[in-house]
Amino acid sequence: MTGDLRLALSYDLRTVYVMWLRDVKRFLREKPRVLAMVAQPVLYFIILGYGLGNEFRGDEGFLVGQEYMQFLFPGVIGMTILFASVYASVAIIWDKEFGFMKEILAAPSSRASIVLGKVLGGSSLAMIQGAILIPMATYWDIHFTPASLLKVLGFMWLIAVAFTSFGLVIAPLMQSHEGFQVVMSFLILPLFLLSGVFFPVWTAPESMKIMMKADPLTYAIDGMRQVLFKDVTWIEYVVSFTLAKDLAVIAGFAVVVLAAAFLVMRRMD
Amino acid sequence: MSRPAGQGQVQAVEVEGLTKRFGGRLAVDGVSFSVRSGEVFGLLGPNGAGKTTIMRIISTLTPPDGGSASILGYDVVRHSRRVRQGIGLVFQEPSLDHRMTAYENLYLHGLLYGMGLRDLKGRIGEALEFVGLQDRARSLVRTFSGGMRRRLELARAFLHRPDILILDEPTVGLDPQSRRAIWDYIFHLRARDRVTVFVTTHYMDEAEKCDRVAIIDGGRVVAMGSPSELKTRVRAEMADRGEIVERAERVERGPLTLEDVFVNITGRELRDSGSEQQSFVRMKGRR
Repeated sequence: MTGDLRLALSYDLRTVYVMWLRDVKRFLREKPRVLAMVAQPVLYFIILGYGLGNEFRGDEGFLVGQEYMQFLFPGVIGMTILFASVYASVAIIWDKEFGFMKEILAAPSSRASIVLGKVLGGSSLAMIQGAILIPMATYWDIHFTPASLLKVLGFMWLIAVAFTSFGLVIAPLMQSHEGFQVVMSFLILPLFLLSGVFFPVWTAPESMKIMMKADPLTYAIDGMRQVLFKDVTWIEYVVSFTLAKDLAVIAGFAVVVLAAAFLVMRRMD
Repeated sequence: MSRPAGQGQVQAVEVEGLTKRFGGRLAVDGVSFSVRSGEVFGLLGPNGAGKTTIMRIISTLTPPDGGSASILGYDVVRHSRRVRQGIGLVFQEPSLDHRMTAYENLYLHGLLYGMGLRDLKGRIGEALEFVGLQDRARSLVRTFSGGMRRRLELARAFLHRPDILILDEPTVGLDPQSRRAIWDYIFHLRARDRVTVFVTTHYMDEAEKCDRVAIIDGGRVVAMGSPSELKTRVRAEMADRGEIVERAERVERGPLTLEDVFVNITGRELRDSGSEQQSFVRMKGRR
């Protein structure tokens, strides 16, 4: 029986590896896609950063110029990971559509290993895309220490795991072209816009604050700001929670959606 | 693959009183049959007869509602992982990763089926050569024709040396050359590896190639035997009813075909539509 168990485990580990390897290989092969996915957040960052940073110039309650760019940076990383994760895991629809999912579902592997492999693959892609932005930080005078880099990578990885799992959970809603548009517009885009990327939670009106506090991405971005701007004078104006609360919320959310992804995949046929 | 101890000759496939219900409709209604080791067994039936459902049950993809099915003595519900290790599947619809190469598709399959990494490379080369795709190993599947994709799927199905190949309408939509090639490969594999072949089809000429066929209609087995046995039986029935005289002209032209058997047993109505009338309307609407 233990032999059987060991055998089963080796099949499952191989399945995790297969799902991961496939995602990474396909990603690296599609160079234009890599370029587009990296260019997009950079454009957001630079255009909105300089645009909005100038807009608010003179307003004493808010950050201007370079400081606004610094404030924006963790948000853009969060945004990159959010979109990259959802795109990577929602691709499971195409796997179903074009049939490769049949090959996976018929193999001698458990459903759990398929989910784990897909989450690992999708979050790896998201991490690559997010990590490419990190060297840019020095240009705007954001400096990483080994400890802060590790903590930021930790938050990035939690966002990636949470939203690749989230993508697997919502994938069944996105099987039609219309469904895809609806989910992107009414679920993913609000998650991004309400996460405090462009403005801190306290500046928003009360009703919007409630929505921002309900967005798990808000906490992850808040957490990255806590880590990066620990010694900056204006930190109290840009963070809304404690580091411990940030970590607890995004990690808790990741665990819950990962569990939901297991349940959804168990019903897939 | 090791087999359960304490049993003598196990059947390659053993199906007993299988039922499956979708909503209120009985898709499979008390089906029993067995497939001997090394046999090419065909499941023949009109569209919607339940062929694919039976195929999905014996390959552990759909649980049955009643009855039992086992592969090499392993129950498909209780020992699904064992069953999956011992079978090679070709699905009715495409199931390759179009954005990966032929080689990569086989490589991932080898990993999924627990093949040793040391001889995987050699086995992939061998399998690609077997289906004549050795020169396209590094091409993306996206660039392949329908026939090449099918051959690659067959190569993938036997890559891990399964005891049983389960093929669901493997030649649908292929040109005659590709259809012939697929069947050549199937018979070569049987000769080489003593593999058992379970195939569903609605092409009569393909059913003729099987050692035995089961004709299935409305979720039930309505006839089973070798193609020649079935022809003899139907000829006798037709003669009893005097139909052979009415159709003397046709019978004179040649011997009874399996198509005659099929139509005689399953009737002439279309199966996947409510009634003749409805299907006529639908056809007109489509034009």
